[in-house]
Amino acid sequence: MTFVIDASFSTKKEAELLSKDARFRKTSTNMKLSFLAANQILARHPDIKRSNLAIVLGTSHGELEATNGFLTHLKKTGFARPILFQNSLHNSTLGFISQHFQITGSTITLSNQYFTGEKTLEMAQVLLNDGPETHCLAIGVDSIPENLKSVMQKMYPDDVTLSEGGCGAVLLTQKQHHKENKIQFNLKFNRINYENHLEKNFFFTSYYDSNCIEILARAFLGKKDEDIFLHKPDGTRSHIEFHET
Amino acid sequence: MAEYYDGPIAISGLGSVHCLGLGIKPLWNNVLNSVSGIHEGIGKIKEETLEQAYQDLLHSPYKDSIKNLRTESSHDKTLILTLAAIQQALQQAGNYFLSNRDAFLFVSTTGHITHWEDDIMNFSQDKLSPEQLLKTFSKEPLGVLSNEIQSIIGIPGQTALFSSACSASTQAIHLGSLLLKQNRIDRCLIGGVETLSKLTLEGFKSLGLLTNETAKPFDQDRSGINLAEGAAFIVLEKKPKQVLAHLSSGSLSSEAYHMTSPHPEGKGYFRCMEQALKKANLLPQDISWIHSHGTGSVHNDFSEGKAISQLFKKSKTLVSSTKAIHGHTLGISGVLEIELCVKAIAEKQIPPTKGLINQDSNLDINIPLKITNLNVNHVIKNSAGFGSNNASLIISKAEL
Repeated sequence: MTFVIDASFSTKKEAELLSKDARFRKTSTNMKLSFLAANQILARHPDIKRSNLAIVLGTSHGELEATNGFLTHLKKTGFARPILFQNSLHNSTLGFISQHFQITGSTITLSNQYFTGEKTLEMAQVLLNDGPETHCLAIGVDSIPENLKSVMQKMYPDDVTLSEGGCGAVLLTQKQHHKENKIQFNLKFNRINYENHLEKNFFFTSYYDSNCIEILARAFLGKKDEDIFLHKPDGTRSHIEFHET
Repeated sequence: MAEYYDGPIAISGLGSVHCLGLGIKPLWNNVLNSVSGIHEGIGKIKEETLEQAYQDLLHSPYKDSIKNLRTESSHDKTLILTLAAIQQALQQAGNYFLSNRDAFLFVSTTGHITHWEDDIMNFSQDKLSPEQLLKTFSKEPLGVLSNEIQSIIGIPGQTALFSSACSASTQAIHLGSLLLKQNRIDRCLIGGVETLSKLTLEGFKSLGLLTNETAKPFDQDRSGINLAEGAAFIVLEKKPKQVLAHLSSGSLSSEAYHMTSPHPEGKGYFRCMEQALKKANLLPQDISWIHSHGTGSVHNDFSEGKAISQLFKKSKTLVSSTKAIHGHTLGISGVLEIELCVKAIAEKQIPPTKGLINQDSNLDINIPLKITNLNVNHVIKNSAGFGSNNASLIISKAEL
């Protein structure tokens, strides 16, 4: 049993505003989106020890912005830009977040296409059950380079509007949950079921592959304890069992 | 069913394709005899190795799914390497059938990039239309490769793809062991594939991390890394038909220090090894050998060496790096090198570190220059990755 004690999400517009801040000059859109999502939560929970905090970050397309920038620059000039290579790794967003917030627990990056968000929550739960961390920050993030938008949209069915965003949730073990009795509203996270071979029934018009955590964050912030059913572009569906505690 | 499984976690199958050939045998023999597969600074898969892997697959349970992976002019290297390594691992474990109590934990940081990176570059110069780009670029998400493999090997159970840079497979093995301990599964197929791309080669070069020579891990004059490609898989299970070794414990941590450099005092390495020892209820002197990450880069070897000397100073535990033989295979380096740890336990031999001539005088660690015959009880495998990740595993002799 795992508990979600807080959640948040961030938008591309907010990330663009952050670009004006000199501290974020060398960061990618994914890093800014993830920072914004993580920062909201960690600001509300200053008592979480950074050495007791794990991070599992899920991203389907990874650092495509930096990868595209690196390859484009290489083709144009014949020279490779180290900063773009450094930022091109899927894991670089996680590196930035752990460094910025000085988080020294277990840190993992995952990428599972349509189920990226779900796998992120699952592996966060698995990590927490083992310890030594008491809390885990699950982050989902995906962004699209401007010049690839139309191409990437074609990778999805016509009724899906490909979107971008960052989202986060803090998960907690049952044992730790009992200690932290000040929490007013939280969700009990049991498990995720995967349902195949459904009839196509895609009803989220704005979608990114790791957005399951954003849907969770919206439910959490709206204090709704309904189970979450997420239809996927390939006609499958995930069912996340949530209940208010 | 009990909530937690307290029994041993067995390693029951090994599979690999690397620059030295197919499987553990050429890998181990070359490591033991210090024969390197690195040429002009990189470890590429030979054409004959790729063709042999394909031929082997024609006699495997996947034979009906692989016929389109080779044309007259080319092979789908990524898929052939992956399936060949999976086939070896499952064959050794003695059971190809994958049920919903089996998990598939896949690792790649490069995926199908060699299919689409040239097209992205041409697209950027308007030499390719969006429709033409889409043909290859639709394989961009790493999850596409994972899904392709899943559909060929037919796994109905738990899956996940790890992309945490060069510590990804060591992390995946740790998470696989947790899935087994938490009784979510009975068996786990873990591993992945990395192929050399322009992004990887030019990127590492731009950071000044590559050498054209064979790497010299822990040497005073070490000059950089040898990148390499390959695929490697292991099988972890609770009730194996045969036990090659046990996975005793694992630990992960973040240094939160720098995007591409480890902490000079090896804080992440130290914490990971210390935690892994604690979880396995072992002391430093119980460890027979440390198979280091040992890339041959100035910063990694200094950081890792400092952490090892701090934790194992009294025990004088033997330390080796084998990367000058098979190269640094990025995300799959952990799983490939764990196969060598299993072999060292079975053969009671610890390989030397090729490339090491004058050990870095700042590092007080015990690196054997020759093959050491020793009863190997417990081995630590270290990994580290860009983005400040560290991971350590302890592999133990089964009959202790």
